[in-house]
Amino acid sequence: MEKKKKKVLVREKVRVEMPTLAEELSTVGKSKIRVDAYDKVRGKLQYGADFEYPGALVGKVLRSPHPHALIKKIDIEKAKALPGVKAVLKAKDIPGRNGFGAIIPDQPVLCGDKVRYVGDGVALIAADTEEVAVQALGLIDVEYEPLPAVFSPIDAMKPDAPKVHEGGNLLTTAKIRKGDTEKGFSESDVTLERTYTVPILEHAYIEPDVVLAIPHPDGTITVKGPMQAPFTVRRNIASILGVLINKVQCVQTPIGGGFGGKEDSPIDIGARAAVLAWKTGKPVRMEYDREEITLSTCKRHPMTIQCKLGAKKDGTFVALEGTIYNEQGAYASLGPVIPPAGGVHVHAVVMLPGPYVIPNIKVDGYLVYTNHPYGGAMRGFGAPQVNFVHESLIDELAYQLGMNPYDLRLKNCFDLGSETATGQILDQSVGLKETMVKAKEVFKWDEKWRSAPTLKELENVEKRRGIGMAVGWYRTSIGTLGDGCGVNLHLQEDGSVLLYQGLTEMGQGSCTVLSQIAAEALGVDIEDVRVVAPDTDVAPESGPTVGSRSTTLMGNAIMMAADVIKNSLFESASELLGISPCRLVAKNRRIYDREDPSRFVELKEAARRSMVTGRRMMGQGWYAPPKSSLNLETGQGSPYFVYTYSTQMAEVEVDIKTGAVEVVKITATFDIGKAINPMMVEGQIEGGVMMGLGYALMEEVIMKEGMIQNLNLQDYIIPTALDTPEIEPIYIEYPNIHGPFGAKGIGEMPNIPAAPAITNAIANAIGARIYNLPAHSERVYMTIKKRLEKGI
Amino acid sequence: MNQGMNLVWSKSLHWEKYYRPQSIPEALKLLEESGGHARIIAGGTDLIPQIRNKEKEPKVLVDITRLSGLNEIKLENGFIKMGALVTHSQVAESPLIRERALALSEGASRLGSPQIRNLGTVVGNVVSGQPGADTTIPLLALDARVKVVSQRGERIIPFTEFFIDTGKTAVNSTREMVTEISFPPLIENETSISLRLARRKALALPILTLSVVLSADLEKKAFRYARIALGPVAPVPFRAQGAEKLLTSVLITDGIIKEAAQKAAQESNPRTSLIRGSEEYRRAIVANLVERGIRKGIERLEGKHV
Amino acid sequence: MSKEKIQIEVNGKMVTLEVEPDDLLVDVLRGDLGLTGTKVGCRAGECGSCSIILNGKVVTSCLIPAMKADGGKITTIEGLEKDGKLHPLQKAFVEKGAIQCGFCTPGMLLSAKNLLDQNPDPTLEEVKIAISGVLCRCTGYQKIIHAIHVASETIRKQGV
Repeated sequence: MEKKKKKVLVREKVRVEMPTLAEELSTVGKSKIRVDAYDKVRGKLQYGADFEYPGALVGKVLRSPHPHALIKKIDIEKAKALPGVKAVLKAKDIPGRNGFGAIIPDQPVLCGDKVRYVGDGVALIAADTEEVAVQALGLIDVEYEPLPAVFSPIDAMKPDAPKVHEGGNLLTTAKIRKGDTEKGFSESDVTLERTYTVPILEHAYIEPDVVLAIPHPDGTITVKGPMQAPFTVRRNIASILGVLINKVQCVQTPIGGGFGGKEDSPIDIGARAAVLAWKTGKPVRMEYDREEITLSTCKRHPMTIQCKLGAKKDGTFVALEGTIYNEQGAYASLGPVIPPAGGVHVHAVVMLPGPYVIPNIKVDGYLVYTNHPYGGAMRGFGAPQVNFVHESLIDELAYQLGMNPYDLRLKNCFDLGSETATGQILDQSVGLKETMVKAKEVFKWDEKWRSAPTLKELENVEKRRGIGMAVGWYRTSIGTLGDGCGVNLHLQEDGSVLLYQGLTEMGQGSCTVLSQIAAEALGVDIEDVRVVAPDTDVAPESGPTVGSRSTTLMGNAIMMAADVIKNSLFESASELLGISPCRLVAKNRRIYDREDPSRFVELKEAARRSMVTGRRMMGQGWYAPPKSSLNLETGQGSPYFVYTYSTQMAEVEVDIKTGAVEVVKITATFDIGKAINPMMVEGQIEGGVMMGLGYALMEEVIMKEGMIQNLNLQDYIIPTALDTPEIEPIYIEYPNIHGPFGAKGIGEMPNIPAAPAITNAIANAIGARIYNLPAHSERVYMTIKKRLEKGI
Repeated sequence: MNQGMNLVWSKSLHWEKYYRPQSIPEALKLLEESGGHARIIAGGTDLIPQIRNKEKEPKVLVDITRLSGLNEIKLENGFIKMGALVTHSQVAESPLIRERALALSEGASRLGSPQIRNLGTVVGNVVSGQPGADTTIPLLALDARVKVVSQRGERIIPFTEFFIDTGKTAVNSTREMVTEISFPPLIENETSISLRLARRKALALPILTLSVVLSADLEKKAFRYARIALGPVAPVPFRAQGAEKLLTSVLITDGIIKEAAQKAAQESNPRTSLIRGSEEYRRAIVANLVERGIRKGIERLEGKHV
Repeated sequence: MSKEKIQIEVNGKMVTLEVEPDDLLVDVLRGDLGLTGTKVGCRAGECGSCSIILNGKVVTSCLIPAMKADGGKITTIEGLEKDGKLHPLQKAFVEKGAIQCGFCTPGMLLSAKNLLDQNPDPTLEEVKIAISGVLCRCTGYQKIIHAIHVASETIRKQGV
């Protein structure tokens, strides 16, 4: 049926720095030193494991060694009798709801009837010391009856597959139905269909999970630790303890890396410590060992994706079809749908067609339970997986058409006014083409470009270089209905500011960036602003620190809050200056007359006057982005309100005799709307690109019969300093009208096109394609070998 | 019976006694008296992780780092000798070893990380009995020997008799101590090279580590002999003797180099490992890297810096 | 088990400690001495966040029994600054954006210090090798490497 195209106002392409009041910005747009730099560099900043808490008990978890089994019996008597043991808990001892989860609470705090993956929690111990706790774990007798297990989504979807959960293994489906793909493929001059697999990944944040749960005599409980989503932790713990939400306080300690993993793992470790603290009436500390973290906490979803693309011989895309088998693992975590467009699965489905104009699209995505470790949020939230697919497929199609991969992409990619796979019209802030042009120029794509080697060359050469590229897009924020965040700003009489909000600093620089925005908005310096560590007792609901949403959403909320303060502050200043408030401007710790800057008053004077005259000195801001919409049957709607764009180009050198790949250089360009802090933007780019390099070349959680084979950091390998290429981070600013100073998100985008840029470069170096990640030396070598054997 | 204890880790490790003897006889006495429950600790870079993983559970640790005279590298009586406390860093940086046994310096410089190399000892690496240990392999190519001492005296064991199985050597670690490893330095017209392939460039166990000692008469364009050591391609560190035979007193030709490389691949026996790679791949790498090692060795003999 | 007395010089100060025979150095530094700047990331010598300088060499303290350090000389991250004045490396890390979550920062700084103490004018490759024993998941290493170069220049020009 012909859909009525709605009229959308498409804004004129604007590319400038966003001035305020036609004056230069004093804090925003500057590479301010991060607010926690000195403490970190001196080793003074205390992370969760650095706090002493005398008298705290040690908590430990007994875990299932089976991927799927019934629990017939748990005997805890001997463990309870051990001196020094203060509590031994089983499923029935959970005071409230025995289930946790970021979306669906389907993960037992302690399993009662059965276990669903190796590492599932079965019993909890609280003891005086770790030695006693470990000894006590050894005294718990568990009788299991192993059940047949299922380890792949395709197997799990078969009718006779073992059921991981009662409701069946198919957790959710999502679709895109746009146009008529059958017709589209019949009209295509070329079609290319391929199947790709991407592995399970581990976040490998260097700071292990840790938590301290402190019960109070008044029936409240404090849970302290590194966590990206204190409000999610709080609501889960309240249900688990069977108390009102306002009885639970979650306090974030400095996070040593999160990447989405600490959105989910603190719910797990926090709930378990909280239950032990509740039962014993004593503070309980839990720390997960590195192996335990790899074993039990959430992962990046592995996927098997079939994708077919049809195009005209001039390269115009006509139709795309895809099937995504998305392995959720044992529990739901962040996989399923949060209406309308939240959750890893929907996001992956919606992003599979890539940032390209394609009139006919049919995608089916299946999110399936298995007896494997479960998928949660990991930087990119489904996008890295599907980006690898569309960028590999399009690249291969380019070669097939005899077109330069750059030209094929440029021909089809989004521009202002383009319609996406979901029928959304991109009406503002679309800098994708510009990122391509810039990357091409800086990387010297044209000079470096050459075709893949012939067979003869491949046979005779030791090493061969190649170049490749990939483009990507990524949403800002999470596409749910409840995507809002609040902030309280309090101006003090000396001009200093306290900022209460719940988004968490995990290295990405949110504290610094939000301080910069607050400082700019209020007219103070960044040193005058203190971001109070997120504490759910004190901060307004802010949502989780995920989805690259912090700068944009909280930045907007801060600006609103600042306006409230300035309204009252200007009244005081007006009285001091004898000038109407509407002529006043706050900047650089002064409030001055816009028409005559020589007439000013120190901001703290005005603040003092506000204090003394009983004027309001606090402002609250609440920001929710433009409403998200998505029809799950058709995949049509406007799921996310703005996107960041990126182009990445990679040069690699492949050792043909071993398959080892060295990445020589990566140029990574981004349209980020506005760089609030340029140096930190570069840091996010460089770090994200390296994470993408790890995805491309070396990272995978290796499974065997449900058991992880590489639990420690010796065998789960992430890049070291010696694995780094030269990275050129470049950003371009196409202001986002919905963002503070035009900003949109950056945190996740860098690690998305990096992997296919590298694997496309490998393809250029060896003349054969990589369809499965990681492209470690064996995979590359075998791909070369197959090409040589096939003789093409 | 408790299942799942292999999924329990802890912060602290456990042993009962920690001794720091001041002399070798004292160390040996402590070993004997512990009735099989003691282990020597030098760098601890293998032992401590093994204790954490419960692969080893010694009740007593005998710390030899106070013993004097064991941290020297010296040339004596025609042998380069390294004491039990010589670290990988020392070997990597030693001018003597760089000049007279470059492959060993290369091997020692690539394993682990600076931290591991500063702590870990060559003797410890060898005694670990791992078939792909990064200093074992060059030492095997260098025809090294091990001096083992116990209360019953001392013996010298050549490398060819030292390795019994994966993780098992001719040393009884509960009663004996290796005090020194020695090998004849390279002579004129002899060169050496080490190559390594791993999944990343630091902190990674090797998929393959390989050392070649090569002697050739460049004027006559003929190989005199070669010693090719590699691992992990067998339960113990491996000498590709079939390949070595092919490179004995023959003209240097492309063909013979390739044939020797293929022979090395055939005679080695890597197994499929989920973490390090399939047998097929590992065998292919043996051939390619042995060939590369031989060619680079020739280039080194020609005076090129490769 | 009875405790044993050990003496170590930590950040220029002699300390006497009573430790269990199986205490690990990282736990003694963090627990007994309250020097929590040294971190624990993996307890297997793989991540480098427990790095300290012991007797002039950077090592991973999670692999070292406390008793092994008896009589030794240790520098932890807390000992890098002198009388509240930051070491040029610390200053460069701050100014060049080489810190994100900060968890690897102590290990990186001590690895870099150990390098510059022995090699005041390192090449790019030498800097990478020097920090190859500390895993960073945040920065991609670029700004860390740059900061080390900047600090090496500062030190060469004006001394530490």
